[in-house]
Amino acid sequence: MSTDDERRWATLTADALEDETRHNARGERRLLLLGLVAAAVTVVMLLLHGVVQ
Amino acid sequence: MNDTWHAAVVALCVVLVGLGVVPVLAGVYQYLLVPVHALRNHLSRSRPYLPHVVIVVPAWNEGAVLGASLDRLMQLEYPPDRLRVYVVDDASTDETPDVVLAKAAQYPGRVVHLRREQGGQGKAHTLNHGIQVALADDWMQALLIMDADVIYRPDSLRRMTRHLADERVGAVTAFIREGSGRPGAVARFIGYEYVTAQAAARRAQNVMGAMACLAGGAQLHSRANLEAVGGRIDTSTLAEDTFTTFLTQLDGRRVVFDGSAVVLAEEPDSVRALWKQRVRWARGNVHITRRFRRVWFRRSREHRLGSVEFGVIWFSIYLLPVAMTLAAVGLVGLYFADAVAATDVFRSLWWVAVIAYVFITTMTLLIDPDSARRSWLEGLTFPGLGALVVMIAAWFPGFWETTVPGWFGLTLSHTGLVLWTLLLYTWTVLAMGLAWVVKTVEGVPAVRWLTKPLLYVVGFGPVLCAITLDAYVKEWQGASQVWDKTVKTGKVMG
Repeated sequence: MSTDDERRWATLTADALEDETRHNARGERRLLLLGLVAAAVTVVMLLLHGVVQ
Repeated sequence: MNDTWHAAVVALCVVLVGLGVVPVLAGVYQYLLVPVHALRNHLSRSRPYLPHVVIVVPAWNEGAVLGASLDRLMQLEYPPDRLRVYVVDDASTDETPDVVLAKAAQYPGRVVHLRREQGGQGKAHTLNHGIQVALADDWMQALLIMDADVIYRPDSLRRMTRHLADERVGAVTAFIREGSGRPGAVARFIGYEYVTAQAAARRAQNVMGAMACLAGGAQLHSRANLEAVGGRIDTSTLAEDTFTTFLTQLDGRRVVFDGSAVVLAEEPDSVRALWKQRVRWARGNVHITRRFRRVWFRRSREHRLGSVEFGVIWFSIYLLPVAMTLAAVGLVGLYFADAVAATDVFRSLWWVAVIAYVFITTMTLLIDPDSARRSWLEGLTFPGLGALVVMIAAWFPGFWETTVPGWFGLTLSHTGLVLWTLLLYTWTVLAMGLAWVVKTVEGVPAVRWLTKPLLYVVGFGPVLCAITLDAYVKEWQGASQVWDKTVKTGKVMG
């Protein structure tokens, strides 16, 4: 997110606000990646435990 | 004991331990729903919408924090002609009236001072005074309830109002992030807790279609919703926010959380202040559970509060201290009935706990990097260093009993082994007891320095469990419902 984007959203025009919502929706999609990373870390930990044991 | 009785005792103990796993699994389930929010959220149904908003700020002796909050509200990126702030001064005895009147003069027509001559009845009464005035004027299309000390990010209000463009939505809540300028240990733990309880849990609740609670410092209602729930906030419970949240949904309207609408708040930075605040919240939840007893686990076309998944999550948190205690009782019982089985069950229980801990902690630290930078240590130690020792005991059998003493050429005696095993099995209960010690120690000047290290050993989770237990005891004793204000000093970093 750039300062230019933030300035444009702050104009409160319909276009700007729709763009802000699209940006936020993209931010939410990041959760899919985070979920995968968290699951991967958990699996790696299980594998490491198996190796150590 | 004959074989049948022995088998029955063993089975009972295993069931008790199994009950302790339920809240852990419920927590994992909730976190599995968080990524689903990437695809199932309300943003696709929102659209630009900037209604006339009245912000109601309840204020009792908030002179230290109010000026900055009002200035920040006036700087919101929101059409100035569509925003009015009503400060309901609850018979303050400090400089609150002067601060508000000065701001009213600085922002004429946009900041209004409403004075209650009879104060001290609680937040709900104070809010109702402002809501009544707001509803008397057709100008208001939406009403935002906030706390005097919170700081709204400039873009936060419009990110909330956009959801009200969907008429099925009755109320919207934001992400309250702990924002103290120089947070201590307790505030850092709360910062992490708020990511789990809001940024994660409320996204999961968005997916489930059932919201447990609108944040008290950031709840936006449509006018239609406010009128439908009776035009006032319930004054009979200590959880007025949750009460309104439930009424909204029971009446068929949705409650939405928007994680990109961020509000900063100063939270308690001592165990005793935390205890006071959370006992009030936990007692409020007892009232809610009782008041809405006909809602749980009953499907409805109007709302999802009666869904099995929401009910399991609600009661997993509500009964967490009970579940932890039963698990410890089960393990100890099993130890005396069948020590080998006890070892297996103990390891299984804590294996689940370790997996849940790694998954949930990783996810929480990733969800909100700002909070993670401030509170990563508190995130890692949230269950307590003691619980981490137990996890290691379950994952690496013999580590504490053989390996560590072996480094020093020592051997654990039989009595030592028995005591150590029982300590591991009962840690969940001991930690709750130690939480009470942490609170007590903080009140004794000579040993107050012990508070912080003890807090990290015990963990924030067990402290919250102990507070919940204390709240149940107070409810059972019929203690009076006192609305104790949490003292704020205005150190939020905006």
